[in-house]
Amino acid sequence: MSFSVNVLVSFLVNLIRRGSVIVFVLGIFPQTAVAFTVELGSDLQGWSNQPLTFSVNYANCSVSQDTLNAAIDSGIALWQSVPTAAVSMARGGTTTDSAANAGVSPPTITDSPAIICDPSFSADIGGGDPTIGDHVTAVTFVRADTSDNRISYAVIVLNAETGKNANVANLTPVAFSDVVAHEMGHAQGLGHSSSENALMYFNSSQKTVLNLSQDDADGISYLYPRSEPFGQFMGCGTLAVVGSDGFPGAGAAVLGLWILVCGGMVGVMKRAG
Amino acid sequence: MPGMSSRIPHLSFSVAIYCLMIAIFGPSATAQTHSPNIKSQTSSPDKTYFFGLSMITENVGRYSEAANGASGSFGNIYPALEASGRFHLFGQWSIAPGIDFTPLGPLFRNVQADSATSDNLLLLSTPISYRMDIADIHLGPGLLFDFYSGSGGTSSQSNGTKTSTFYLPSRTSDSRQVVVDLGSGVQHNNYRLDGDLLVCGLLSSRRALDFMIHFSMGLL
Repeated sequence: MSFSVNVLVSFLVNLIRRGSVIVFVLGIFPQTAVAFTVELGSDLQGWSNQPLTFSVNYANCSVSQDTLNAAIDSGIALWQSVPTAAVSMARGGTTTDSAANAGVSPPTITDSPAIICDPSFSADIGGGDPTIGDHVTAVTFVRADTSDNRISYAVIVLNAETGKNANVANLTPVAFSDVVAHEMGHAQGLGHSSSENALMYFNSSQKTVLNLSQDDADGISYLYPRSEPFGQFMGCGTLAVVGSDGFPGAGAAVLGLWILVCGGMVGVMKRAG
Repeated sequence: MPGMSSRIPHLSFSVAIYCLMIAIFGPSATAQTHSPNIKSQTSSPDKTYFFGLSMITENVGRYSEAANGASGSFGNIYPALEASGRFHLFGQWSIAPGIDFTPLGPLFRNVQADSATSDNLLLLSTPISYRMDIADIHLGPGLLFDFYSGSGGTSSQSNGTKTSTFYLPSRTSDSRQVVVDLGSGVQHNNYRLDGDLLVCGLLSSRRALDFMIHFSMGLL
């Protein structure tokens, strides 16, 4: 045992002395680029209210309500899975808000954040460009308060225009979920990423798996950083709130147990000394 | 930089608590003898300090590393500087606080032409260690910081059928996670080789794994 450890240590020391470890590591690990952006301005901050509850207008949708709900739930679960971020979202009730009012200023949408299907997508979004419905599957409108740079408004408009190539009904389930999750990223303040691996890349045509990249995770963590142990603890939301992905008091119990263990050890040590 | 001033007290507070814990555990443990000899692998030195290098992989196998969204194997790889101490408590038990910091960010990520954001890690850990001959196992909590910072500016990105201007971050933002540090190490003369598993979000669906390998040398 000691012989093999001796050999291993000597080997590693020699490797480090020669710089070989660095070359080895640089040679085998993948390269990625930090490329996330935010919307509206460099000082943008995320929503102040959590959870972010999306109202949905199912009227005129070109996909079923169940399909849309499944995509929304997948997007929520995806963004909430980032361990370094404190994102909390939910699917709320229905709204009658119209997509035609989503981009007007001042906004007249009353149930923001909202997800709305638009059968007049080219007219409402394209600004007179009738071809927009063939190329764009969804658009998100985002506004922030000028007082604190926090996002205060977001409306996701899905293309439900009959006869258009980019109608969301023409997408595979994975691609549809990808589009909804991508737009949810915009609704939270993220802009497009230059990384092809990212969900926030402008083109989703290559996606076959609904997933985030490290770049997406960095972006959402930048806007909504976790703040354990005082803000949240080990995924429990806050110590006082029952969440769907933890249980209240568990974090405090773990911390308390650890303090007891350490305190007990110090006590035993001092008694022995 | 809006936001930075509000984050610094959090970090300062965490580091202060950490230093306080070292102050509590360290000197108490060293009061028993005055022989910080680390030359012998079979002796039980009361206080030892190590400095070295570590490699941290964050969110192993979790995120997309391909254009189709498929997950990769390693996640980000961060080279880190490490300082740690081992303070003998009693018998085979020690407390082994450590600090790991990645001053260069993840490998390669900061050399891309369009990179305007840096990401660095700081790990404060206080595992309790149980020694078995030259090897030991350790378990305890840690606090893992992810620092995101950028210098601002704009970036032109494709957007539908045209290009649009998006914005590069200008604030510093830090994410803090409580982690469970489970690891094992071997010590031979002045050298230590450790492998650690960091479990983030232990009690949640956010649970992720980080791996850390560190090689360090006893100096004091």
